[in-house]
Amino acid sequence: MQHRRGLGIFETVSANLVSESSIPNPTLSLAGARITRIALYLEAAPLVSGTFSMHVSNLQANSVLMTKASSNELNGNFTVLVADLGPAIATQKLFQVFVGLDIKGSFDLSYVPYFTTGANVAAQGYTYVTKAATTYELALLSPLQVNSSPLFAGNVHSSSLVVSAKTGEISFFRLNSISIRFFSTQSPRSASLDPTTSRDLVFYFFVFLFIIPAAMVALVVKVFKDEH
Amino acid sequence: MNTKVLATLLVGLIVRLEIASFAGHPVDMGLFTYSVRLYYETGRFDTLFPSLPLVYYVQLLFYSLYTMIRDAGFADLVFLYHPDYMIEGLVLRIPSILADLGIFYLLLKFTGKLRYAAFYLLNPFTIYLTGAWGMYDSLMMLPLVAGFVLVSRNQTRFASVSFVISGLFKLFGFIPFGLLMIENLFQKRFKEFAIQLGIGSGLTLLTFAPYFQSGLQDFYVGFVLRFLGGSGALSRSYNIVAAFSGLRFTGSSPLVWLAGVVVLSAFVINRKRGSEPILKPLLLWSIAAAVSLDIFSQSQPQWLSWLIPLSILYAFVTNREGLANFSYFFGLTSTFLSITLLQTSTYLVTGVPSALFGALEGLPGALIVNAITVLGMLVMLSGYVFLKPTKFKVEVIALTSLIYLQAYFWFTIMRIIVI
Repeated sequence: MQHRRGLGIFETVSANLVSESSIPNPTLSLAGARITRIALYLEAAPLVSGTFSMHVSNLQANSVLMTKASSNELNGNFTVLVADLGPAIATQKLFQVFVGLDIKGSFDLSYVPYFTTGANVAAQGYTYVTKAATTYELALLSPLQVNSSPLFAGNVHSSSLVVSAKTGEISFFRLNSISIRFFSTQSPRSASLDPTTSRDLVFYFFVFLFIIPAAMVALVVKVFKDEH
Repeated sequence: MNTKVLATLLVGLIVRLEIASFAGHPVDMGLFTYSVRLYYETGRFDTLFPSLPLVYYVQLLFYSLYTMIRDAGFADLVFLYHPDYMIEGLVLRIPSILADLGIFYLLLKFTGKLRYAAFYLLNPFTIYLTGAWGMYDSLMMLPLVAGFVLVSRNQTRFASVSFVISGLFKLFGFIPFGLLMIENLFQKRFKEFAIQLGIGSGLTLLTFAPYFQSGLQDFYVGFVLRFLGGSGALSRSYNIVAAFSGLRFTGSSPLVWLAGVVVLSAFVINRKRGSEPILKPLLLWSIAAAVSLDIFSQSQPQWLSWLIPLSILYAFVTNREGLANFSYFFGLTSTFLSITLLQTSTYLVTGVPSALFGALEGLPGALIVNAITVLGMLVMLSGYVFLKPTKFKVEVIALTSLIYLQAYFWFTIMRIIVI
């Protein structure tokens, strides 16, 4: 729920508090931990002023009804599917996750795939809808796309693939393949990136992008008259 | 070589090399770098390469030079927060830079006017895409332009090959190819039609062959559906329809198919009515198709660049000086919009987004402002193409500024629509 944008209307907000609490505290160990207090507050966006109010009409805690399966294929009615991928892996250099899956569900089914390690969401996919052409989907998950967390997470000691229905229900699921990609990016140089340095670099960039080409075109059009 | 031509060529080359040595789109360059490294470091062919296979083959070819210099002990450097090394990123962009030079040469040879060729090579948008971003649209545009030049020489069979190669870099190349096929059917040249079909299918199957080993499902969903607008992912769209409705189409907007039918029908009607050489209508309806894609499909910002060489060619063929001049302004404005409204000015330079110019970047409603201004320019470009030839006037700049400022006022300041 960290910095979640309000819609300004009555809305039902669902959240997995364990996953959400790990967003501001990603290194906090969850072994033996439990949530003892929930605070609801409204935060004004930067540069916004005025009168704000929040009306909470109902607060509800839902228990999880879990169905365990040992195969990578299952039928039924599900809101979320969690595939345990084994012990949690380091995701510092995680680049992309490709998941090949077969999925069917209600006509309004839309879902989001997540790759989690412990309670931390390491990568997230787009919102997907079912297609008329095929039930197969090759979903792309990326750390850059993480902007939410699934309602139900996997084991806090494992890496998991979580397929969470946004609308509708999942009636059939089969996990075909999963490809986890790491990228050996260099650590950033210690060069200072204060606004002045950034501005100088951007001006340098603009000279080559706009000024030199435009000046040359002006020369071609206005001065180089005999152009054949 | 003429000194003026050489000077123009050198300026076009130097600005690209200079920018390419440090700038780059962190995500796209990361994707390309990952795939080429995977091949040269592990021997594995990346069947999940994010674009069409011909782009991967070309990148692999040029990257082999980089692996050689790395094997010889060359230590490359990382610039700020970019995922790739500096020379590595430059090498990955050499094919696109060479393609830009090739387009410059073709335009110069075809039109005989340095000004027209310079409008492409020194256009900030083509420099931005090739040199700064690392996009490969010019790889598609080189055979596309070559195809039109071949059509003008009545070498339609070679032109077909050229259009197919173009389409194998980016699917847009298949549009003039398809129109040429329709023309052959229309003229009852069935043998030529069959040859075209054979060329198209053969080259396509050949380039996709290594992908079949990864299974047909990945190929079907990862390529066929994704590139034909049937993807299940509700990804980001830049078009005006998505900007206003907040809809995230699974691929293209459903309206793109309607626009496709309109363009095809118009082409057929045009061919029925007149018996003029094919070049002009082929160019005209390819431009109309590109405009439709920019309005109704995902409308990636780089797609706007396709209109630049097409407009220059059409301007020359129909003697529309104003259109050629407008194509330069179109590129200049598209660059400004893309940098300020879609990326922020530091993103390609430092590798991290940051709004240095607060009044212009990181704005609420930026997507809508961009979509409206782009739509305004596309309408003006269509006017230059379809209406009687007109000079490029300063009023066009004023009108574009007005559209931008109005969109800025209503959607960024007043925020009459919040999506």
